[in-house]
Amino acid sequence: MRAYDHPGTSLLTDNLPGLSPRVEQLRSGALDSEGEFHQWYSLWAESLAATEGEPLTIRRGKAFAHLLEQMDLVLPSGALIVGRHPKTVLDEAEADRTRSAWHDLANPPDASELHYQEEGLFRASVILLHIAPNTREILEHGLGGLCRKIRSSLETAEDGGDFLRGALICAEAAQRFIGRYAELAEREAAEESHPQREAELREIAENCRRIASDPPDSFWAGLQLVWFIYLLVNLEAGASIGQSGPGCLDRWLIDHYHRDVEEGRLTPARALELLECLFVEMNASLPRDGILPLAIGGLGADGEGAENELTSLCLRAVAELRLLHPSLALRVHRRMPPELLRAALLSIGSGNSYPALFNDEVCVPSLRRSGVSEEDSLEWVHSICTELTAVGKTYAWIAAPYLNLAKCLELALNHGRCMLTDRQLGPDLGDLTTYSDFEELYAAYLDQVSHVMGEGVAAAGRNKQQAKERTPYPFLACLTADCIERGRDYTDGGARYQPDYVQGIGLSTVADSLAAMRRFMFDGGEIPPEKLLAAMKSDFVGSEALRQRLLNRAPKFGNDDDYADEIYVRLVEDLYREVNGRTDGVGGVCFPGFMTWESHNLLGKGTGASADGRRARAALSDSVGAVQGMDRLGLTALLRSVTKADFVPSVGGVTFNVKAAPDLFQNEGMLGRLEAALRAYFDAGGFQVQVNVLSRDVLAAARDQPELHRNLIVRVGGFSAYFVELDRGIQQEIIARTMHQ
Amino acid sequence: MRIWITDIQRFSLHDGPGIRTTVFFQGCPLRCLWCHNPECLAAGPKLRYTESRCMGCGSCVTLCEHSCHPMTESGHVLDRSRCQACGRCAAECPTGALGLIGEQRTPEEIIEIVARDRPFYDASGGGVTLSGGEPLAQVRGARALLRLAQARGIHTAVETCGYAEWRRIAPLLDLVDLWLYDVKHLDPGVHQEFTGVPNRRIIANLERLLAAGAAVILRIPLIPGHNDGDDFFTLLSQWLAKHDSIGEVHLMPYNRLARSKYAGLGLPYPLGDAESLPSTLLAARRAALERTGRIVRVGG
Ligand code: SF4
Ligand code: SF4
Repeated sequence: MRAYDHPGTSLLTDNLPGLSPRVEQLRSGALDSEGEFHQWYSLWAESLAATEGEPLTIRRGKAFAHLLEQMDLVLPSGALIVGRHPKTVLDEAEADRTRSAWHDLANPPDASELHYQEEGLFRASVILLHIAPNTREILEHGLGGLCRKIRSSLETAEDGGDFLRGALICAEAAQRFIGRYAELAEREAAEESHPQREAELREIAENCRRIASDPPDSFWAGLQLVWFIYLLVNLEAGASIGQSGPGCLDRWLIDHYHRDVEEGRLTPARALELLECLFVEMNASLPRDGILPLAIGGLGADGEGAENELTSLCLRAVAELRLLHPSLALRVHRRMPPELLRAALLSIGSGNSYPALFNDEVCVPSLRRSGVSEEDSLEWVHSICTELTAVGKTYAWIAAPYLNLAKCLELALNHGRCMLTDRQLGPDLGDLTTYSDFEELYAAYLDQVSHVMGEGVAAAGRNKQQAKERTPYPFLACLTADCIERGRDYTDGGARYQPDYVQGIGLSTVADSLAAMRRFMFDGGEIPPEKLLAAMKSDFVGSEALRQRLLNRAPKFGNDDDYADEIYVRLVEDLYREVNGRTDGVGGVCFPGFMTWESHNLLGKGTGASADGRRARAALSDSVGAVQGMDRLGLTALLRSVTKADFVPSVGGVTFNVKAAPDLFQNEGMLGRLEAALRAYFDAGGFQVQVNVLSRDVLAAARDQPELHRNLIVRVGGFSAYFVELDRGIQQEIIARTMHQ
Repeated sequence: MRIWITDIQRFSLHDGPGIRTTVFFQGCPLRCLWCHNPECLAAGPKLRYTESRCMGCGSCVTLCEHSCHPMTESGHVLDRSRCQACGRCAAECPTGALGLIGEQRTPEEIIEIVARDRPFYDASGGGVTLSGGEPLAQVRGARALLRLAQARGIHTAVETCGYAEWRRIAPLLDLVDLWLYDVKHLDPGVHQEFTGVPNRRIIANLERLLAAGAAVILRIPLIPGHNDGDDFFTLLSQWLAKHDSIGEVHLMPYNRLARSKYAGLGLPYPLGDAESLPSTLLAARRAALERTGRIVRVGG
């Protein structure tokens, strides 16, 4: 059954040629490239050394400009999209020297001051970017338009002159950088013997010449501009690029695409090849641990779907290339052509693990609820795991902080003291033996959450203050509404939206722990509280039977069992209540989320044994999912459990991993069932789902013989990685997570 | 009214169309050598013991009034000879090594669980499947459950061996949307040998169902050395040629996963060392049936 006929979806199945030899060659070149991004450090430091005494924003602008003037250019043979972060090879000692010379001059926010994760209370690190730039505006007005805007702001600026001057330095440097690529392409064209390639190089040069100041006049040039802006925004942030997205490619470039196709300048096959060239560039310029989120499709202003031919082509390019970047997300909604979801599942089923599926009918309202305007809420990106941000308009503070809910419960059970170190970390409200009923215990837990959150948000505020003082971002400010208009830096109140995401970590660990205590202590008194507390404090040494009972006989979230699920829902709502209304003192407003990244492992290491039977220092539950391996009744029960909570307020992100056995993809009938399960999940208010296709055997084999499984890509908490590169703990966890049929 | 069941399995993908919930009834008049649900053969509770999960805590030792849990030098062992399946030990076993399978639930209780996955049935064209064991062995309970499902608009399927008096089947005709009808062999002698009963009544009931216009999918458990030979498939093709209203046939190839279930129930495994069906043979059988114009699915 079709929601409606959509011209773009035929491109999902049309018989276009597979990867062209050109793309194949570029792809393997990108994968094999050696070296690291050392040049960035030496050039940046060189400039800082020459600008001592000038205002910081000017110094950073000049460093950016110097980098763009001096950086090696790379134009691989056959490339259609140019601009690459150059890699060089240095010996270790030399590389260290380069980095520390930069570090001394740049004085970046000090990571060692900025982690508060001893004893697993929370993590509040400095994580910048996590946005997508406002390239839409550059596509409309060109970099020339941007420079004019900055100049006119400068004319009327009362204060903010330094900032705007810094911004102008950056914007003009960006223009010249693109010009350098135009020159390079021209030089190469002049030497090229093959006429077809010569023509390509001339067009590349022409594209660069134009977009250095004007809006692009073709799909190709538009794609090129999107890539340059992305690259430059990232280069301003640091040597290790890739903690941000390029924006809404399919929406922004569809008019260019249509015009070119109508005028006979572009075929769908060529557009696909261009997208593939772009994606290859992403992989050449990003390190393995970078992430580049790309969200496609979704709702448009008219309430209809905004998906188009480019949505289909992006899906197809990602499926064909099978590379780490981009981290593709499909924005699903009820009126989306069903072919797109099917194509997404086929891509996932081929072992690709992309795209992640987001429910636009939850995500858009989620942004609206966080104060984003109706228009702005339609262009969002998961930046970079599952946190939602309005594209081009947001200064998001992502770990504000990662708050360990399981630790808060630990404190409530033990006089506010850490069970591992016995240090006093929270208020003394009693211990497990002093609470007369479940409600008292629960209230004590909430008090600890409130206390820890106060500390965590304050720590995040201090980090943000440091970022503001030490690292203004004049170029990113050019690409973020309304910095130029306000004459204020990105880190200094210029951005239209400034959310802080307070992430609750270990949700199901807490739900299951509370459920076990309620069942075994408060309902019937089967387990004496002294005994349970002592067992937890000794990490269940000598109490294995008790631990087994907690693991096997207590109610567990994820099985559509209201006993545990109601506690889970209550925890979610109380986290919202706790977060609401908090601010960081540096212009940011706090919003809740459950995005976990790797925090469930890191914070778990500082957390004592819990009443759900979890051993001390073991990982906590991941985002909103069930405790690892505890969802035993299959996919539908798990989906029902998780949709009992309302995740619309979780604009900070929800990651929901589902592992599907390969046979769910093996034929039409099975695919239809999987698709139906996910649709029902979304209809019930599911926020996001990440489907992984795995068999335990394959994973175990990959763990034991990594050299044979280097191609295996998995997603953990919303990011992808090569399985064999993960540490053994995470590998074990992925293997342990229940497989659904 | 209560029904003896062993399990209500959600997200079932192989027991009819769409996403389904399968209710496993206890009790079966057949004794197929390859039965993969031995816990469903007779109504009533059974003690399951998974040795590998036992941690040797000893709590079962004192709980059992019939001394079924001696502790030996090598740890806990289960002596089933005096076991009454009272379930006391299972209720306290911390690891889940011991479990009691088989319980009585009312149709109302069952439908409440089934109805939880309603959105998934609606999205996928699924519903509830009564399986087992043999649902017709508790036909009053089956009828009550089917009625409740029908009243809620949930698609119903019954998986049956077909061995029952027609007067038990007839009242279900209006309540069952789809029959998943097992046919093990068409030769009466061979059938008797491997299932313990002759097949006359089974085939007669099947033909009456078809005559009554019921929607039927044939399900053929394909057992190496028992019904995977040319003789059965020749008979089957001939029979299908006369019964056009069968549009779909499922081949359920034998696998050895049930072996551990027998061990857990302390039962001998009747099929001994049978190997899984060679994939080439499976493909050949499938192709042969497809030539009769039927949709053929492997594994349901
Ligand atoms: S089920 Fe009852 S009789 Fe059988 S072993 Fe357990 S306690 Fe003993
Ligand atoms: S109660 Fe369970 S775990 Fe303990 S000895 Fe008996 S069978 Fe083993």
